[in-house]
Amino acid sequence: MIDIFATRLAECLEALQPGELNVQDCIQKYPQDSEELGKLLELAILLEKTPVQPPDELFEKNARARILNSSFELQSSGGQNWLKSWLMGIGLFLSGRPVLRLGLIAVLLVLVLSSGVVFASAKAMPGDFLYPVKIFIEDSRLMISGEEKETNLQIDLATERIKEVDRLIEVERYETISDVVDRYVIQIDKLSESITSSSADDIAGIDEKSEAVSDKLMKNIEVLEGLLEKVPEQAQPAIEKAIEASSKNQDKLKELFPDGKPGGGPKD
Amino acid sequence: MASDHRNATDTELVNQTRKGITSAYGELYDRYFKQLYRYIYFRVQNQEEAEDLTEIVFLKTLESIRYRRAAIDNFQGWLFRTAHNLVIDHYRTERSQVSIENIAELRDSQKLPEKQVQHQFDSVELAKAIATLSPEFQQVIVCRFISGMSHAETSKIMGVNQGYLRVLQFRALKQLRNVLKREFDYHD
Repeated sequence: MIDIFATRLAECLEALQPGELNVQDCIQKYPQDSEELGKLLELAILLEKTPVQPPDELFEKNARARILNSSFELQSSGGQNWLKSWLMGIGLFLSGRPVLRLGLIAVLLVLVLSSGVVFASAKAMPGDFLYPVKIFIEDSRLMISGEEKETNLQIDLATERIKEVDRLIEVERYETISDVVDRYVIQIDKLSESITSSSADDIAGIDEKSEAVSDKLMKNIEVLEGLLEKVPEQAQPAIEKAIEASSKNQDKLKELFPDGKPGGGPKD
Repeated sequence: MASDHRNATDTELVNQTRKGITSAYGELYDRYFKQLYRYIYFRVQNQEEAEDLTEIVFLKTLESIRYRRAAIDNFQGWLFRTAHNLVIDHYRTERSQVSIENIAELRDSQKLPEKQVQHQFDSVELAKAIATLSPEFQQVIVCRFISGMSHAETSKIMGVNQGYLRVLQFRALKQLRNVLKREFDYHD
């Protein structure tokens, strides 16, 4: 008996939600249960109307970015449980000891480089089994590079993302392009941030870096505009995002110099 | 950007996330953020806490996708079970907040205003009434009527068949009506 009534109630609730029936229709459909059915349906409607303070729209957007960003970090760490635990253990042991940490990474790099995996991973594309290895190698190279070489390496790695986009287009793996672009945007944002927040004492150094980066960004924009014409509609927003981020960071670098031209002024 | 994934099933998106396709997880986030937030908000009754816990659930789930070897056939159920466990942990550590445990103790002094009963429940008052039900009944009510899940979705999350869920739903609604009438001056 309970089963029959519960089924009728469920049927009515399912019909109420898309508006196929109203409470009155349900009651008329099952007159023998009308009193009990009516009361429970009215209660269910009140429950559904209960207001809930909505989430902050900005929070929703920022949380999404943070979560996807953490996904990159997880991906960089390889995605293997044992490897993660092992590296975390060593990381904790060496925390606060940068010299030891750099030394360890150098040793690991030598081991990995000599294993041949790195050669295989160099051409890996997002979604490939070896792609996390490629990213790990890139991150490690950044950590052990000196301050002078860091900027060049950063822009080279960002440019590598554009090459990856090009290769993905060639093999029609459009669904992965937005991931690569997201990583590209993070990389060039960090790059321009590191330049714009450099010590004001080193004007010449900042000038040189910003000019080099600005030139590279300009080339990237040219390449991306070419790619934009090749890709189907579904991949266009990702390419447009990369162009927009490149232009924005170029503008940011230009703002460092009052005459608007990195390089400290006209160079005829 | 996530438009490429719109037609993909949850399981396909989980597999893509595992392969490192981050935007696939972005699609899962877009699919379930609001529903999950509503579920958690109703339990903690605080916007900021609900936002923080929602983010933590997505982060924990992402980490599990990456490091867990076994297949994940029911992402939504798994997401909400993670949320359920996290909310319970949250209650244990945040004793000062309104919780399922102490919410029932507070109900004696609370009455629903007549006009709200007629047109709309106040979410805090309703949470207090729901907190007096058994955990299974609470889960049915919150999933079905607060988060707006279907019978099929709710049965997956609770790990019960739909026939049993229909009976649970009926009993939960009936008991909630009795609590509201007895404790909160609710009139049919």
